[in-house]
Amino acid sequence: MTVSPSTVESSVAQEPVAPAGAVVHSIGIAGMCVVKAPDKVRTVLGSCIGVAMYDRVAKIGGMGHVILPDSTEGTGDPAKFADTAVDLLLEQLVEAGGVRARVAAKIVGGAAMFGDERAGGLGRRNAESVTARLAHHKIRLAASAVGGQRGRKMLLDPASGMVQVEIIGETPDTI
Amino acid sequence: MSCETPTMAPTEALRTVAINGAYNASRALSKWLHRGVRLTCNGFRSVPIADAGLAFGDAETVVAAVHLPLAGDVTGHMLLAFPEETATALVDLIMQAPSGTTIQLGELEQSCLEETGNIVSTAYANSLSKWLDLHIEPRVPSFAFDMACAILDPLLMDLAGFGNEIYVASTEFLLDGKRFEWGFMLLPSHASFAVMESRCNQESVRAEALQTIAINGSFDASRAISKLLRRGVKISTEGFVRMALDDVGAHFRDDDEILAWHLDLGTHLHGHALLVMNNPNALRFSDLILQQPVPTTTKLGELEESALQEGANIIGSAFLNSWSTWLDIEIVPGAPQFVHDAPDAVIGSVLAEQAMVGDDVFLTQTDFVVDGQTVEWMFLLLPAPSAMRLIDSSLK
Repeated sequence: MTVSPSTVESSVAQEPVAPAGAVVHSIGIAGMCVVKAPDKVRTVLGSCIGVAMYDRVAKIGGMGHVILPDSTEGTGDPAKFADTAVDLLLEQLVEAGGVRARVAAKIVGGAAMFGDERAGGLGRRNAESVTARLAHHKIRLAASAVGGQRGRKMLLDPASGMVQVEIIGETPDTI
Repeated sequence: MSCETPTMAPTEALRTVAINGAYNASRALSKWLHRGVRLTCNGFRSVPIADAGLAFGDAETVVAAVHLPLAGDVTGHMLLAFPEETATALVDLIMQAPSGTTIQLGELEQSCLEETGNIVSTAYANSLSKWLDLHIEPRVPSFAFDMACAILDPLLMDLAGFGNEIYVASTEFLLDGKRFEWGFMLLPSHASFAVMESRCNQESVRAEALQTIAINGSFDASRAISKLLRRGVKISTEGFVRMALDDVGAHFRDDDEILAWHLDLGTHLHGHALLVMNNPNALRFSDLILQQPVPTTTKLGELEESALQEGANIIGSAFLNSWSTWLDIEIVPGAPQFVHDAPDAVIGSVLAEQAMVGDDVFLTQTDFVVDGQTVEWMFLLLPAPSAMRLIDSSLK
C-alpha cells in the first residue's frame, strides 16, 4: 500500500485490532499516513485534531494529526496546520487510488486537557479550520467527536470508514 | 593578559544552567519529601514535534501530569508527570502514609501532586532566573490524568508554530538512589530559547558556568575522600582563578621538599592535576588513610606511599570524572606519578606550558578542611591553554 515514508511515524502493530498480516500504523503529533485495508491507522489526541479521510469503495484511508489552525501563522511541515494538512491528506489519498468524489471525513480531538481555555480555544479553532477546509474541497464531514477535557485514541479502518474513539476508562465509541 | 580568557560555548553554558536548575529543584523536592531526591538533567535538546508525544515512552502511556505555564521573560511550559502507580506512591510519601495507602487520585491527592509540581518548577525557574538574570514565573499548576501524547498536545500547540522541532530540557529522578519513573520537562518557546541562549553569550554567565563546574568537581572529590577517610573532608575552591606564575604554591617555598602526586590529563585534554603536600602533612594524610591515630607514621615507607597514592587517586579521579561529566569531554589521564622534590621543581614542571604563553596561569586551586581543621594539602588542576580552547570549541 502507498504510504508516504516521510510521514509514517511507526508501522508496528501494537494491539490485536487488525486481522492477521495487517498493520496498524501509528502517527505522532503533526504526523500523516495513508493506508489500504486491511491496514489501519491511529493516533492519540489531546487538544489537537485528528482528521480521517477515506474512500470506502477503494478501501483506502488516511489520517493527519493537526496541531495548529492556520499555515499563514507559522512555518514548517504542512502536516502541522489544519488548512495545508487537509490539502495534503486529500492529495495523498487520491494519489494512492482514492476517488475524490467518494471521499468522506471524520474529525476527533480538540479537548481542553488542563481545563485551559486558551488550549481549548485553539482546539476549537483547529476543528473549525479543518471543517472549513473540508468544505472548501467539498468533502463531506460524516461525523465528529470534539471538545471536552479528555484525551482520545482514534483508530480508522479504511475498509468501513469507521473510526473508533476511546477515552481512558470508558467504553470505546465508533463514529 | 597573554592567555585567552577561558569561557564556555553558549550551548554548554545553557546546559550548565539547566543542570543547576535540576540541582536546585533536587534540594527543594528533598526538603518537601523528607527524602533524598536527585533530579538529573543533561541540558536542552531539540526534538522533532512528531517524537515529542513519545516523551514518556508510548504515546498511549497513561500518566498523571501537573502542568505549569511559564510567564515573564521566558514563555513555554513546565510539566511534571508520573505513571499512576508512582503518582500514588508519591502521595503516600507526601502524606507520610504507609506505602500503598493511596489507591486513587482524588481532589486531595491531585492537590498534593500540584503542590509538588509547584515546588519543583519554582525551584528550577528560580535557578534559571538567577543565572540568566531573567524573570521566569511558573503560573498556577493544573492537573490531568490521561495519555501522554494527549497531555503534550496542548503544550506543543504553543511551541510548534515555527519549524518542525521543539526544545526540551528533560529531567530524570533518583529517589534514595533508585531511578523513579517520574519526568520533568521544561519546554521553552523558540523565542524564549533564543533569549536564554543570548543571555549565555554574556561573558559573566559563561564564566559563572565554568566556575560552577570547577566547584562541583570539588564537591564530588570531597564526598569521595570523606568516604575513604571516614571523616568529614571539605575540599573547597573558588573555581578558576588567574594567578601569577610566582604565586603558584608559594606557601610551600619554605619546605625543602614536597610530595606530589601528578597526573597528566592525557592526549585529548592537555594539562595537569597535582596534589601537593609537605612532609608533615603527608605523614598525617597517610595516618588518616590507614585509619590510625595521628601521629603514628614517622617515615614514608612503601605502605604509606601506596596509601597516599590511593588517596590522591581518589581525589583526582572524582575531580576529573566530574569534569568529564559536566563538560561532556572524554578525559583519559596517564598513569599517576608520585614524586618527592623541591617545591619549585615539582610545581615548575606543570607550569611550563602556560608559562610559555604568559606570566600568569589559569587554574583551579583547592583548600582542604578535615574534621573542621584546615590542612595544608593543595590540589591543582591546570588545563593547558589548548585545553581551554578545546573546552570552548568542542562543546559548540
